Amino acid sequence: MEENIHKFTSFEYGSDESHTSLLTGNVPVPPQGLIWDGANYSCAYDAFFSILQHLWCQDPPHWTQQFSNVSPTLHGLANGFQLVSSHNITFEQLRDDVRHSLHNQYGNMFPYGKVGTSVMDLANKVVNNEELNASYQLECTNCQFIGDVLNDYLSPLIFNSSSGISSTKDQLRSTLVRRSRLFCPECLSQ
Amino acid sequence: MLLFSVGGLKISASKIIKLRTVNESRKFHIRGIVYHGGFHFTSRIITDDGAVWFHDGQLGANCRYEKRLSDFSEIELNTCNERQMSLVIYAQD
Repeated sequence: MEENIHKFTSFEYGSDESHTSLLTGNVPVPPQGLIWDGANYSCAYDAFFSILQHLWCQDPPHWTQQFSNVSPTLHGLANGFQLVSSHNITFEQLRDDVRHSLHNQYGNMFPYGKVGTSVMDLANKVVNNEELNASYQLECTNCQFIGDVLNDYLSPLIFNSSSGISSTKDQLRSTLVRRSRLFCPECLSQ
Repeated sequence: MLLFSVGGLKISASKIIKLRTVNESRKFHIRGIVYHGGFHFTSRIITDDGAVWFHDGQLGANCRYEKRLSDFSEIELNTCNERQMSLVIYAQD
């Protein structure tokens, strides 16, 4: 019996920043989110991009690098956040530019007007990158045989609805470690 | 960064996910949740100091402070103003 074990190779963030306790005594500054476009229902973009922009704002050099590592679209968003930060464009203009680009590539998936957009489709396209970014190994749970490391692709967007999953932690575990139907070359068990 | 699709599933959002690789251990902290319901998406933005902010673009640009992440149970995070959790975003700190 063998298992597939994915290993991250390109999600390696080097920051050692530790979490600090919250805002004691001071009035916190609210994050700035996107304003909804009522003519072209933008709520999927507003919700997702507002989270990404706030993340980027917490450490622009670090997150520009990390976003650029993930995908070309996130790289473009990071550059756009810089333009928003320096008041060259508004956050809404950046959203509309990215939306326009996605609409041009996948018109049915990212329509205009009062038609809904799936935030899953949006997230999937924003982080999409076909380059190999992970590796896996077969490991026999019977005889401890470990196979060669093979290149693989692992999306940063985890879809997993297998039975028994009750948390995102379980979703990740179930995605990274999977049973294989292959026979072990050493002990021939499955 | 890790993103999880949880729409339509009975899955709760872990606040922290620890990932052990061959050589090291990494921690991913929850940094945002997108909610869906009533043909509309809203979000919760979670800052690196543990503050949770609610954002709804229909209400404008300003986010509304809710409370500290530590004061939320994982079940509480499943919904937000009757909308269901759809996408969860984590970042390594």
